[in-house]
Amino acid sequence: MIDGILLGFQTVLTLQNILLVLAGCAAGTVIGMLPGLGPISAIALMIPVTYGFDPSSGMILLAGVYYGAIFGGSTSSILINAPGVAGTVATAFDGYPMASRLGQPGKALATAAYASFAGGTVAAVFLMLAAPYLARVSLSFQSADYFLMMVLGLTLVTAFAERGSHLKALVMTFLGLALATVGTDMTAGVQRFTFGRMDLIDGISFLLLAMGTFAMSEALMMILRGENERSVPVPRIGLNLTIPELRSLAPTVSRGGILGFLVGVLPGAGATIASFLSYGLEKRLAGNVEPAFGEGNMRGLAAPESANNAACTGSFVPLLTLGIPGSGTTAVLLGALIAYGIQPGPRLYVDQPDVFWGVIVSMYFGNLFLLFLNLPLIPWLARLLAIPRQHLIPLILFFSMTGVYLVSFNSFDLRLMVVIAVFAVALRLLAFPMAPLLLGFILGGMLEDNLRRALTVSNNDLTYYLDRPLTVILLTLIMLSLTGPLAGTLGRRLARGGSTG
Amino acid sequence: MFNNKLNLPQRLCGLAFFGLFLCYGWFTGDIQLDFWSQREVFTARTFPYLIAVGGSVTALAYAINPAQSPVIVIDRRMVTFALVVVLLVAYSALIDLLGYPLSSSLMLLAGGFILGERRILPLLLVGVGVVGILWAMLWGLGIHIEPGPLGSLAR
Repeated sequence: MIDGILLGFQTVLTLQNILLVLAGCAAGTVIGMLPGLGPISAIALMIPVTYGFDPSSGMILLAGVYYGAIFGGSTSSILINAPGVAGTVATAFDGYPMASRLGQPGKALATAAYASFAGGTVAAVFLMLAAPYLARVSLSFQSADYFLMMVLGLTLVTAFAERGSHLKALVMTFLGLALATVGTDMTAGVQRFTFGRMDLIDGISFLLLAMGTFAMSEALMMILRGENERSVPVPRIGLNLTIPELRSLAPTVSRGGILGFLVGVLPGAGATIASFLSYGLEKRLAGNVEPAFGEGNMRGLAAPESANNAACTGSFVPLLTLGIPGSGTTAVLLGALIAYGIQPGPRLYVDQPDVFWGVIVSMYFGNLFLLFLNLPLIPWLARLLAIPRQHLIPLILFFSMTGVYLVSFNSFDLRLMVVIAVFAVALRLLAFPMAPLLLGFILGGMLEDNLRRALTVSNNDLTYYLDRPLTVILLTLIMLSLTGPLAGTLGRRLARGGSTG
Repeated sequence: MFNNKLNLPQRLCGLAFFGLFLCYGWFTGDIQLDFWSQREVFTARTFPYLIAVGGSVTALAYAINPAQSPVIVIDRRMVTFALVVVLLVAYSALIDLLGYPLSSSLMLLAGGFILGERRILPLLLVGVGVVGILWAMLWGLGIHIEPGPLGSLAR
């Protein structure tokens, strides 16, 4: 293994490859910040550029683009509450309040940059040490386990709900699940809830729902709060974190990095589940802190940021060692590898060790360069929030709608988005949380597929899985996460009823 | 302003969700199943039925036992809000006719005006400048958005 790591350093540490990592990170960051263009689009746009290079250099460039695009997506999440990709939704929970309400956009972006770097570095070290072994472990997960892991992700919605609002969060989760069923059921090949409309055959896109419920509804809420009538407070663009702050973040990013990497290794799980789980875990561990989670807590920002970056690294494990793309982005990367004439799989690190180890080591350098590249940019990016609100609000609305239009070129999507945004504003006025809606929507399709597969494999008898320790552990965690907060809420209500009545 | 001890807005919202999930369950029955899939345990209807049952039970539980309702203030800002929503609907309706660059510029100009900006230069800078730069960037990346029938005439 040491030989492999040294070979990886030897491959990456050439002037050409260092410049390629740097160029990839820069291009990925810029493209990732554009509305509607996430890591998949960024990599797809850059693939033709890589054809002139040897496979290891091409993959090094694409890995840099991947990292850069994820970080670029986080920037728009933090500054304008517009998560362009599912992996950066959880970043907006505390990143946006920290940047807007607390007036610390520089610090929020710097926290995200440090957390991404730390999470990515933890994952890169894990990847170097354990990639071949972890690939075998990830294969032991069966459909039922994936299903239960996603149910666990959903039951953790209670982590996003305020005290006493757990039922609200569950209602929103079910609404998200229901919206995920709109469109064509790919397995059965039948249309569901399309009401004969061609525009709904492909279902509702994630981007449309995310932009409608987060970015657009936030812009409309700004109007209701009268922010366009007030002068803009000068945002603090300083990005220095104090030593106690960095010390308090260290365990958070370590946990986020490890959790993110392990979830990222599982095919199909990816950065989204990793970031939500990490956020939920951190909120549980933090208890009552000031500022509270959801109101600009630094740990609430660092946890999902470190996890989503680590999960990106983790997703390379099944890609490189098994040839299984764990996400849409790694599927595009698999296509690029095959185009170079390389077949990823168990023999990759025997047959082409320079590609295997070169990509792994470039992950570390990608993280490092991303940090050095983005820190100087942060003060400039943070100035975005100094734009007067009478211009910023229309701009947020415009960029959100452009993002969706660029994907589908269908004006029906824009009309649907306006309806969803107005509906979201009404629900936000009634203090219904939006995050569980989006989480339910993201996990809905995967949940149904895995339940269907689990039933098929077990001949329609789910008790078949109860013999497996992994399944039992996941079931226990689900029961605990579901009953704990609900019992707490019920207990408090009963106590309150007893004291008043 | 409406808020009372009965928590009426929250209860009504819970009931509205209950009705929504019942309707969802009703329409689940309309999903077409072929002869073979009707005999399967897990069909295209199974997961939606699970959601309908879970959602309606949770919504009903919420209507019975709602959380404390926040105070909602209705004032003149609602008029501005409504105007912006009308603008967004108009933008989404006219984008095919006017084309992306022209309709986007008009949307930004009108949006800024509704929200209180009266100076021509900043309005033009945002309305024309931002759309122009973005459009050029997208062309540079190989993403071509056609200007539309009226947009072509304007060009």
